[in-house]
Amino acid sequence: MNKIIKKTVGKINILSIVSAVILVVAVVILAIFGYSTDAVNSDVNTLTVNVNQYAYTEYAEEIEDVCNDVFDELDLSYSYDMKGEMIGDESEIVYVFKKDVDLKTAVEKLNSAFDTATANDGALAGSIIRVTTNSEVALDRLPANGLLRVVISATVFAVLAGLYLTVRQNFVSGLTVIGSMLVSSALTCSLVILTRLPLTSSILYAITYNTFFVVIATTFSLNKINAKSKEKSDLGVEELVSENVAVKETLGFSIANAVALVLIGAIATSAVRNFALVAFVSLVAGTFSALIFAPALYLPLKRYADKKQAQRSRYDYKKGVSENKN
Amino acid sequence: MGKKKSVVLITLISIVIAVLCAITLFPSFEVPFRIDGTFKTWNPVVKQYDLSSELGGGYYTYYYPEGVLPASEYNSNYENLATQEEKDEYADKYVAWKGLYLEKSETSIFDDADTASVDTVSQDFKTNFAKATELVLSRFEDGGYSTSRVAVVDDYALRVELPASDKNYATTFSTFANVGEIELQKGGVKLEELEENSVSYYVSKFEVGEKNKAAYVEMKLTKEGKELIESIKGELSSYSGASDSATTLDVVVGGETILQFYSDFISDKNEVISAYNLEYLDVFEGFGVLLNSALNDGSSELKFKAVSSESIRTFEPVYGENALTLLYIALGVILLACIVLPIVFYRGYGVSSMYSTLSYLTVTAICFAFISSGIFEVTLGTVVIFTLGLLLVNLINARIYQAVKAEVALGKTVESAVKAGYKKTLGGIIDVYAVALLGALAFLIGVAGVYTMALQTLICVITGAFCNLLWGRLINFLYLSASKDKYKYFHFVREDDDDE
Repeated sequence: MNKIIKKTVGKINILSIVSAVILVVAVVILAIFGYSTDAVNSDVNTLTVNVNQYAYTEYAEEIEDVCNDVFDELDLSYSYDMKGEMIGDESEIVYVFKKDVDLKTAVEKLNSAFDTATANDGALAGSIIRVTTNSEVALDRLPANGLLRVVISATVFAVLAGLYLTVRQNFVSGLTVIGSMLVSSALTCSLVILTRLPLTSSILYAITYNTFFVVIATTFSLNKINAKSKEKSDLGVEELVSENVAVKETLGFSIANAVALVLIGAIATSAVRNFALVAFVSLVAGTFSALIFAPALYLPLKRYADKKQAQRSRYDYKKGVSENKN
Repeated sequence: MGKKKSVVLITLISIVIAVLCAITLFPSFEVPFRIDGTFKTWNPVVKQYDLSSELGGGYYTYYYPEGVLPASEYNSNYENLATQEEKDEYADKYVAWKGLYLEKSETSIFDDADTASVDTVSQDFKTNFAKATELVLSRFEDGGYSTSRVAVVDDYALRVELPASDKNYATTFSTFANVGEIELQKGGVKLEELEENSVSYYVSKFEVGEKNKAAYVEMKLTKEGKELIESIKGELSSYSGASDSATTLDVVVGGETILQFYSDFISDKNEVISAYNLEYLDVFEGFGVLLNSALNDGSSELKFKAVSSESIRTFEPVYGENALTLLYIALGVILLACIVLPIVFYRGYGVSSMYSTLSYLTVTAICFAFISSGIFEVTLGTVVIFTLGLLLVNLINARIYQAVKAEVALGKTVESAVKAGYKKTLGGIIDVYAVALLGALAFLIGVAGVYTMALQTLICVITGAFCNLLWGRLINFLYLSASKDKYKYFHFVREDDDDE
């Protein structure tokens, strides 16, 4: 890892171009194909089985079996189902299918199957079961207001973290943490769009998580660099940066988080898995930003700051007059 | 500190942490004796969270405009009719549209019942439905739920979902379905002044909050509004001894009275405030969303049918009822790794690190459950931010260990190495927690789930900082004082041991 850092330190132009290209490609993909959503946030067709309370209490499993047999026969698979229990006389089971699935035949077959089953000598005698279909257009897929607030919050966080590190360390550290965080957030969004992961409101949690991770990891490195520069003032800037990035801490933190997310994703159900994947992508972007981008950004900023400092230290320094003119 | 004192303190702290862990994690069971005369069930803290719908399911219902029927209801009514003639007559009253039935005689849907068909649904109805949908959507967004859903069903109905954490779901569903016009009435009659100007000319907004252990609603007035109130407050009845015929200033939406103000609710400065029992705060927050929406976003001429509590369905987490259990298992494995790995690598120091981990777990878990059940809804964001904090606590403990190890390698004694190690890492740890704290404060700008996540991050950051900066040090100090071999405690190898 240290070798990679040594090679990439100072290559801010290349890294910026790569990051910008990823961002542009993501914007183009977004403009052409839009973003993908999960079943909950998509337009869907639903098949609703209304059941009287007696039948729902007594035969819920048998009713589900009848439905599943018909779906298997017609080779239909639903995204998820909702068992809507009501206080009143009826309950319902809602099967949610993708928008393009035609449910007409399924309704006919189910009505026929339930007619037979609910007859006096049928297995579900005494039940009143009706099957209907609806189409649903999901609104509020990714609340614009929520996204805007998260962007504002992340920007305020970047500025506050930058100001804090400027006061505690120097202006260069402040700018580095701001740059690192903005690149990380932009890359997270871009990678989620490019990998076609479903974009739900949980992306807002992932961005929030990402900002905390990247700021903490970058602060580790900046602390180490700053402490070392005070300890060994004779070190060259490039050497100072490339040898003092908090690789162990950042990688350790990143790997521990990655293992935790993989565990959450592997054990949990599909919705949680999608979220864990989005958070994992944000972790990759955060690690890149803290470990590669931040040191690469720090070096030219530090050089520029040192140059300015040197100019200011000259006996003939005049504010606003450039070195060349002198 | 002496060894005996250290051992006593460690024992006491261990007992407290064990009790807190039991409160947090010990599984549910029926208490085998009566409490207050009844048998009760013990539930650990982690079972008492308000959950978002992705983890805990929720409630849903349908909003049908007047004259629109779901196919299930139509079919039920149809089948219950005795003769074929009655059935034909009933069927002739409706136009089928996808999974809905539209009543031909409903003048808000069709201009002419005789020519009613799917192609002659009036443009006004479509426009009014679109406006009503926009209003309902904005209300569910403004409601501040971590997860909610609004979907248009078959073009002319809505399906709306709320998370299980909303205890007033029935009131919320009914309140948000009211898309009528807002007006001010005095003694049941619309104020004359509203013939010339809209309500927003007099009222700037409705503010709902909590003060002095009571919920309050304040009608914020414009300059003109204050003048209006000044002119009518003398005609209003006083709350004390008010009867049914009392003259009140009413805020009415869609014909339904939402708020009533008596003369003694108006201050000398013409501030209009009414206070209620704190337990109704959630209900009034819902009213606040409705009133501000009606004030700022306008109204629709469409009217949704009343939402009865019988028509509200409960649903389990849409991706499986085991979502939460599986998530707890995953978190349990992570927690176990955070306890076992430091003990394996750092021996005695790992044991003191375990205290930090368990303290972080119990404090955050208890705070999430009990500080405010209305605010702390557990979402997927909570899970990752809790995990991030847990890992950060352990990473910093590892960093301190490495710093102490480096000092020992320089030839210092363990005591002075510990002192130097803590001193060298102190600034860095403070920086990390300070920026994280600033981040948590910045994200309070967020709405709904992100706002909740920011509050939870605040708890995680403060707890983590406490565990790393104070608590962990104290425990380490106690263990170090009690240990016979300080090198063995840290899993260090003595230089002279090597020589042997």
